[in-house]
Amino acid sequence: MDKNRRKQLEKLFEAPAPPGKRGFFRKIGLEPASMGNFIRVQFSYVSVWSWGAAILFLGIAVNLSCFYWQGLFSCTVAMMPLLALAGISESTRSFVYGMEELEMSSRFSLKSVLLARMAVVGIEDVLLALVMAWIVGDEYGNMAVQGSYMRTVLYLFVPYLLSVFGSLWIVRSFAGKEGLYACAGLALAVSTAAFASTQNLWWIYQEKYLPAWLAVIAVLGGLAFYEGRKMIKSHYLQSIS
Amino acid sequence: MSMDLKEQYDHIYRYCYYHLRDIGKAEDITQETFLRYLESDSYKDIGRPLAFLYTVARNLCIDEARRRKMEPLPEELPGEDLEDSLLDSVLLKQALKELSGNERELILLRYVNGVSVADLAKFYGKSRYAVYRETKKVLQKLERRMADG
Repeated sequence: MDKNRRKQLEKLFEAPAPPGKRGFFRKIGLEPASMGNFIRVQFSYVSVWSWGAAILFLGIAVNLSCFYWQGLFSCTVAMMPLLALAGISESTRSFVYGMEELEMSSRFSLKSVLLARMAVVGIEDVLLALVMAWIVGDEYGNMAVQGSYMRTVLYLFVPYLLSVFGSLWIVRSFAGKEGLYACAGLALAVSTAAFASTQNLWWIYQEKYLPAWLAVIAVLGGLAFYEGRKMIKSHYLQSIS
Repeated sequence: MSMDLKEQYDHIYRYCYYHLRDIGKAEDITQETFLRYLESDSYKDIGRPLAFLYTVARNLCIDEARRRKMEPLPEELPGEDLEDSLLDSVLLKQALKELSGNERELILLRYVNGVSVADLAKFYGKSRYAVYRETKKVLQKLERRMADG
């Protein structure tokens, strides 16, 4: 049945809003927590090594900016897929280790838990990328290219989103730890390719190719969003069936 | 809890309202249904929560209808007084009215509340294939009525 027909049916079967819903859930002690609270709680479930990885990447970027600025841009671009790998392995932990049932036994739905965890890890990665872009600045080492902060952000997010999209697809397609190993392989491949591109294909970072980069980031962002949504959906349907 | 309770509360309430046309009663029955589910210690019931919830809700709606000495499956649709801007929607409403109460219930459960075929099979006490076939038949009937209308 198409979406339009479904919407028409929903409208035809619409019921007035239930006035006592909130009171009922409060009474039985299952009142949903506020979104802010819920996300705050999820922070404590993100494992230490994930925060450690973020600090390590930041430390490397700071170190390079002080001692080897010529390689700063190349190395930061190459680090982005690894950052994505850390994020993906963290937010898909329950899926990889088959822990859905345990999480489903909590008072929140698995869908909400997954979304909150992805939000926590995603926000962490984005903030880190913005800080790293600030450290890199507008100098791209030995490349004959004059950049800007926004362009640096763009160049960092392309390999990151490529890894996110690929890893989400892999995790959804291959269950268990094998999927995680494949993600690691992909992250390393993207990382190497990103590094190599700054050495051998430096001209693609020129300003005239900016529209192409914007198009790529839009496509990758859309694909990553689509894949994330699909993963949550399949994950959720699998666990309630 | 293997489902989003908040979401299912709305679905069960819609199902009860469809049968009773009374906000207060529909909500009372929805809450009673959830209390029974939460109190249930049978793994069988917890394992198929949706089928369990709909079964309890249906039985409670039938009890309420008996108490009121009314038909449990009314002929009109809840959204009948809504003003329609699209001809298609009017045709759909007309076609739905021509279906039997049970057929409309199947449409509500499967396509509005999104209950899976497996849960519907458990709810109706039929095989999954029978539910699948019936759903397909009702949909074809609906489309035919719309085309005729």
